[in-house]
Amino acid sequence: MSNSKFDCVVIGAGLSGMSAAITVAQAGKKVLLLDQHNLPGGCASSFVRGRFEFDASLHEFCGLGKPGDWGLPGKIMMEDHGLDVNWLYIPELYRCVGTARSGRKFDTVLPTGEEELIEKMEELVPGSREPMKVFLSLAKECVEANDYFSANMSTVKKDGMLKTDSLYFMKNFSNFLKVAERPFNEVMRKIGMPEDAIDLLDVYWTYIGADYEKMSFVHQAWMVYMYTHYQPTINKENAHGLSMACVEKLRELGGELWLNTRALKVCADKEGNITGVLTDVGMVETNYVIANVNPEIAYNKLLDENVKVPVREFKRVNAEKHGIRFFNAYVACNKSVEELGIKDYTIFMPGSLDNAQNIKDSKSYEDNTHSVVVIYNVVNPDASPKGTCTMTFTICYTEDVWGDFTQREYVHKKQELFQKVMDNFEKDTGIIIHDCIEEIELASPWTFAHFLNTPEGTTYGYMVDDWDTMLSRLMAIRKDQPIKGFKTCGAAGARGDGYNMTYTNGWDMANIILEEMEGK
Amino acid sequence: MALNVKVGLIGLLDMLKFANLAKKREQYIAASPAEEIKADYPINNLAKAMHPDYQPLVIDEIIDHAAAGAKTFVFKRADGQPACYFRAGQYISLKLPIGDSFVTRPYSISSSPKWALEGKLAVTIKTNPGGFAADWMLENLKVGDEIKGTEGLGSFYYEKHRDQKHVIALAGGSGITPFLSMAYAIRDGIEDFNLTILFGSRNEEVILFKDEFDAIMAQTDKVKVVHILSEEEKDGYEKGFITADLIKKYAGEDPYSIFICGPEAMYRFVAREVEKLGLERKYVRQEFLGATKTVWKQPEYPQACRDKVFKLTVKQGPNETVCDCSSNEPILVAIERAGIKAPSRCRSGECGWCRSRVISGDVFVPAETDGRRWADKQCTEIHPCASFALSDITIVVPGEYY
Repeated sequence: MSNSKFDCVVIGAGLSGMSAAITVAQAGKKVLLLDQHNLPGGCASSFVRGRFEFDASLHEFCGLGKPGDWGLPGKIMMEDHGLDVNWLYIPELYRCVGTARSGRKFDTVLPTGEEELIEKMEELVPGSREPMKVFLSLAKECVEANDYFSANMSTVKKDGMLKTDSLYFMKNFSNFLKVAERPFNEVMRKIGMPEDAIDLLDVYWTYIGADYEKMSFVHQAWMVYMYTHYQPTINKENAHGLSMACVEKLRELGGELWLNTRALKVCADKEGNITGVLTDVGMVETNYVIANVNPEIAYNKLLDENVKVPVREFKRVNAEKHGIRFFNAYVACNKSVEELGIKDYTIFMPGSLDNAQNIKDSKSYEDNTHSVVVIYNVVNPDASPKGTCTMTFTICYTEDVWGDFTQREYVHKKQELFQKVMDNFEKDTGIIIHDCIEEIELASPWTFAHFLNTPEGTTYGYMVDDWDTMLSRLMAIRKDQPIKGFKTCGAAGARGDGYNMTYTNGWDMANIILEEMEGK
Repeated sequence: MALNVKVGLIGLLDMLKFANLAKKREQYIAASPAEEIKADYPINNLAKAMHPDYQPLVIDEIIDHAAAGAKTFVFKRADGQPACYFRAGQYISLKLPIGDSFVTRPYSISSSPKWALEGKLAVTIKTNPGGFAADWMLENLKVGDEIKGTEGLGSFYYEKHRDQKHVIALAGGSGITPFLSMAYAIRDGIEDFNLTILFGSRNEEVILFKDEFDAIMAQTDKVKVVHILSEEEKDGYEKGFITADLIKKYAGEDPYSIFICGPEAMYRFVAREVEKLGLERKYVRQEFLGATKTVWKQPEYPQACRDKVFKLTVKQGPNETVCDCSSNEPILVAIERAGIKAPSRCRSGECGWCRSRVISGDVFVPAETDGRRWADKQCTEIHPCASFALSDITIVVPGEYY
């Protein structure tokens, strides 16, 4: 092939890879984006069954913001990248049906908006008004501190860590410094939050899969605050529409997208300098590569042996624990949400609100029926044809519990689990769907391993742990991944999982690559 | 609302904890093993075994159904692996190098999923006079030949959370094959539903798989086959075509789902009959396995474009090919005729494997086989297997490299 020299090649057109490609292209660089599939998006994709289109993953943004008040991901997508997408705001945090550790049964809807949430919590759990005020105030400070941190990530100390202006932090974010890295539940207790209220706020567990007795306050507080303040947000065009908006933007900037094209090797010369990417269609020359790929796959399968991966990188990757993985049931009903009596977009049905019990159950096929369902039409009437609706049920696992099934029993296992999930849903909500399912597709970690090729079919990169929080990862963002001209981005990146996080991480890593291009 | 609360409950020492965050992470990393990273996971290997890029198949046996003008090709895996497990009713797409062309053809699997575990897989191909691939295969393929095929694909299978427990299958000609697989799966205890097959053939002599179905019915009472002969009157057979009345006659009291598979003419006739039954849409499913052969009969087709030959420019990676494109055939056919290797699987607009981007020109996409994603319709992405040229066009086609 001739004339195939690019300033930067991005491997993998997931949201993070697309964000990285757009960021680099916007700086005037010639960019090639590759994907092994015949469509872009990675997790941010959709598929068609009959007259329905299903989002493959939950395309919900946390902390996107609104025009004039964008959160960081919103600012990058809408102001910096100028994507042509339309946002829909979800007026509730969630409906939750489950039993607290106290034995009290809840079936309640938590609203968005700080005041509304505080009042609702007080109504549900008397005595939580004041602690809720403190909690949201702390959470707000965490968000502001995090934003300040994200905007000032360019100065590096001698040890490779980001330089943080301690005095500025102490002056402006002193509470943040005190609580940020404390375990979530511990801080909640310190500020006097009643246990039932803690249980209700821990319901987000299905989205995170972490142990709230260990996970840092800042992570969960950031999420609860962002959802409360900015409202959960989906784009009207669905997940594939979002990906197509990214692709259109990249093309507008002169970037190229090659689909159905695998990156076989990231090549380097004898000195370990990146020289190109070997693909299905031959060698593409470049000195800079961003791979929207899990670091294990990148170091083990992609990177040329000429590149000496520092021992600390091996240790770092070996230290990480794989994040959660999902069972998803994509269901289309031939009745409308009005006919079915559905009012809520997100319904958590954990059974028990006991975080410790849920973590235990998440390591088992039999015991884990802790599900959440999102019903798109509640917020987006155009999500499916008139008189119908689409919904996705999700169960998260913290370990590989699907890898032992045989091919013959696999379909049966998926069907059996969906039966349990549907029975619980009908029992918990009184909403009857079993007789109106027109299309259904069941996906397990096998499915995600197939389509995403991530380790064990995980979709969330690495588990956020007490030693490995979003902030400690961000502090080391320039120390991790020291190989010049080669970076990875995505859910296994510094900011962790979720559409908003991976999109932002693509932007982070592209900015670092751009600095390397300038010889910094 | 003022939310300016100061927290004094947690000690100042916590600030140090924050300062030590980076140190704590470094210590944890330093204490972790330095060994090379192993990126080898059992579930990924399982996924790869079930969803390979393709299955290398070798023809193990050819069964001639001479009277019906059909042959069953029994494949084994050329690499000795078990064949990919599948759901009864699914198809595989075969990759065929015919002359200078690389074409694909989707064929419903006619064997039991149980066979796959034993390493075998069968498809049954019927002669299609004037056609291209089917007759080439019937004439040329012999035992020992190697062919690449996909895993089982499509969603034309019984799904207990969606379908009624009683499925009435309406089959014509080689459209019987997915139902033979379903019948085997029921017999083998892999699927659990009641299957009544209304199978239309011209006369008794050309009925496909009569003996096989008779044997299955002797083993399970969950499968029942009714033969309908269009050109012969004979005891034990229905005479005529598959009509609404005939369906009602064999439906019994229980609610049922209808599955349809057969040639286009049969499908169009039967679909009108099924409409008379007034079933909910969810209880009627069909398998196309091919786009329409008479695109000019489609609603909203601009008649002036019929029987035209347009110029098609295909960009693929760094290559560009210009070829003729008949307005009467799907664009994919023109791409294949030009000797371009392009991805495709279902050939009926459904799976999106051939998804390509139109840079210039107009295309017609029949609504009945428009399986595109919503955003693709807003952009200019098409599925060339079920799209037809209305002018000279230029399209970007992804590569097919394995």
